[in-house]
Amino acid sequence: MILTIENLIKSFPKKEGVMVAIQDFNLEVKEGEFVCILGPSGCGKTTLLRIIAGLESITSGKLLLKDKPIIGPGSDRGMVFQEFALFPWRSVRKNVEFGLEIKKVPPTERAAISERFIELVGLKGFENYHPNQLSGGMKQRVGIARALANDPALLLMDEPFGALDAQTRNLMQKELLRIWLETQKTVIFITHSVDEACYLADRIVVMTSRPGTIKEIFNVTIPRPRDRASVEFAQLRKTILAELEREVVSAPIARDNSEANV
Amino acid sequence: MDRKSVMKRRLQSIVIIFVSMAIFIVIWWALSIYFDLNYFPPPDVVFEAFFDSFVTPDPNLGITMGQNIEASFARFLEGFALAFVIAIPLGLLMGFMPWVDTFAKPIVELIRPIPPIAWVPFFFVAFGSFWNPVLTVFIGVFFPLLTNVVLGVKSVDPSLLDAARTQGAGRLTLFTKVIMPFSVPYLMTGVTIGMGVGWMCIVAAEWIAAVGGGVGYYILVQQQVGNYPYMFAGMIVIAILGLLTVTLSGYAEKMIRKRMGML
Amino acid sequence: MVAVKTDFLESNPDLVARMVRAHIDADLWIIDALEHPESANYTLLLQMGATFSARSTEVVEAALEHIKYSFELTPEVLDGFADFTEMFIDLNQTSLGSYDSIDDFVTDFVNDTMITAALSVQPSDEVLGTIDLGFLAGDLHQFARVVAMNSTVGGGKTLYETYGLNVVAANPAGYLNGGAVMDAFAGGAIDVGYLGAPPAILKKLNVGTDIKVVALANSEGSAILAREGINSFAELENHTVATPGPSSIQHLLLLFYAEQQGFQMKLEGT
Repeated sequence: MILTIENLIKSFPKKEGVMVAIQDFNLEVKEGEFVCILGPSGCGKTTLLRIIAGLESITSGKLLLKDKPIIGPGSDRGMVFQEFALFPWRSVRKNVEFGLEIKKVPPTERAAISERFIELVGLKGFENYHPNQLSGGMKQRVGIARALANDPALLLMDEPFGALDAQTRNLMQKELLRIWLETQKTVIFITHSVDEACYLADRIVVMTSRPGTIKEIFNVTIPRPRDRASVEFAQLRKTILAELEREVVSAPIARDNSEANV
Repeated sequence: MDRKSVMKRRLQSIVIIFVSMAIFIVIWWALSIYFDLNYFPPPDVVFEAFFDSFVTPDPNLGITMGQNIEASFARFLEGFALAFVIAIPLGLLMGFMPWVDTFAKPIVELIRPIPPIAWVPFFFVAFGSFWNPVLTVFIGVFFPLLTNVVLGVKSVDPSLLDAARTQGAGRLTLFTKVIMPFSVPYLMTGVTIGMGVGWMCIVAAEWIAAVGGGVGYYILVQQQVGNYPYMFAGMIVIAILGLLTVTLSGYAEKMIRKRMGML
Repeated sequence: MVAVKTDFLESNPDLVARMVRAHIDADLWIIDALEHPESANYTLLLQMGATFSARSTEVVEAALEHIKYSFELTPEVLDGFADFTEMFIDLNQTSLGSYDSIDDFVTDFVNDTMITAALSVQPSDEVLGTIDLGFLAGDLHQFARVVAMNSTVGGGKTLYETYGLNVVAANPAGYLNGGAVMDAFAGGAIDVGYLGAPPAILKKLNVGTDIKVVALANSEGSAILAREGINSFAELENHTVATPGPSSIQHLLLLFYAEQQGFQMKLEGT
């Protein structure tokens, strides 16, 4: 098991009392798995990802990466963001090399590694472009290359295609699978698109609304590349959608702004 | 088609600028002739004085306009440099560390509203005729620089910080590799604002005393001896210098933003 | 010296004569007080000086030793004006313009008939006219004005009032320099002004501000102050000297004196 989450509870202090975002969360992730976490808005899936990334602390419970507790952020858990979060003053190459610079990798080695990943994500020739010269899809490719360049144990993706248009999104999903197959990374992918989860995941973890916990875990055995028009795909989607809808309906209506990220 | 219309628009603006300048000079001419006052000379007399001031050393001061500009410019740069050296590190720290901000803020906010000009008498008495104009420029430039640097630091997109952390960045790296580069365009805005303020400060400071001349001092002397065409010439010099520095700085700001692919 | 706007002089000669009379009386009072340091007048003089110049009476006392108060426009004084004019022309700070010669200019610059007229002026209880007056801030050269405006000296009323004049100070705190006084003349803010001759000469020639000198206020009273360790003018070689500005009398005097002593002043922008 590369990632172990045991009895995870995450709560935030509020003006009166606490707000429990995640509770009784238990999950084990195998190396090389593609796990999608699906849930209604406000269920805590982004918070969960941030906890795994080390950007948030846990209130109680166990969180182990390769049997060692996770204490803070690090390049062993690469993250890809919905808003891309590329450094605008750095070129594509320099963005990808960011983590390597921090690790003080010598320049020639850095160049070789960054070139490899830039090519892998399909951006060969764009090394010296700046983010503001790239389309949304291209930016996200850079984001992925940047995360992968550090050879992370986990690739954490927070609704990475949410800001893209439908066509680009579909294209990027295919591209992601291609990259995943080649690098064999363990991926934890947050989304609220049932279709996307069905298309990508080995396992789909459906979360309840807040306080978030695991409602149901689905194993997806349909071989890839998956045909959205096929019967099994449609069936899977229908089942999960139904599961999700039940959760959405019972989700609390009143929610204040500070919980938007949950 | 697009290229052509851009060129056309640019040409149009240049023509309009020329026309407006011409109208300005004509009105000036007419008014000066109408009022016929010796302290309101017509444009041709002023322009003649303007060019002459560069060629002939002024009898009252013993130096040419070029030398006066040199003297003022040197003070301007020195004051600017001093402001740079203090405002940037302070601003970065204030934006990055909340306790520094809390500590420095009351002092900054107390001094900021005092117009730089008001400091001149004090600076002159306390620090002498060399430091007076330098410090006055410093005070004028320091606050816009500081404010903009702090703003830059506080405006850093938090997701950039998150991204950097997930790349293995520690606190120091966040500061040097994310916050500092991000603040540069904001800094440049502060510089451009500072440029305009700086010239005003120079003139005011030089009015109390100036060793080695200076454009501000020049204007004052011309008034004292009654050389009004030359006084106006001095004012034109300052207008040009102010315009030049602000435009150059704005241009530099744009170039930097472009190169950094930012904002 | 005391200057009057030419057109005011031409339309109000009697008022100007009275003004000059008050000025002469004041000057004589000062000279008398200085000759009798034990008298009450002397103490009053020091006090007035201290209040008006914001310095202590000791400072005022020391200063008074170096100032010579007088009012007559003697040939010597006129020569002095001619010398100043010549120096300004040599330095290129001004030119004669429409005047044929320096003497021509000085003749137009000065009107000494007022001093004579002043002597036959009688006191008047009635207010005969108003004069807008300009003077320099904190300048002990112009002590006569302070004295003329002081009621104790006049025995209950000011010397101006004694001669039937309503004198209004256009800028109660005083102007910053002679150039500013000349500007006040040009702008119509004052009719009569106390200022130094050099700035008046400069602006009369450069700008055409039309004034006439009707009386002197002082003939000596400028000094060069040096830091401790420097005890003679010669020791100032290669040092920097500060003056109140290129239109001031001190600046001119410095240039004159330096030339006399065989030194060359280098103007480097100050």
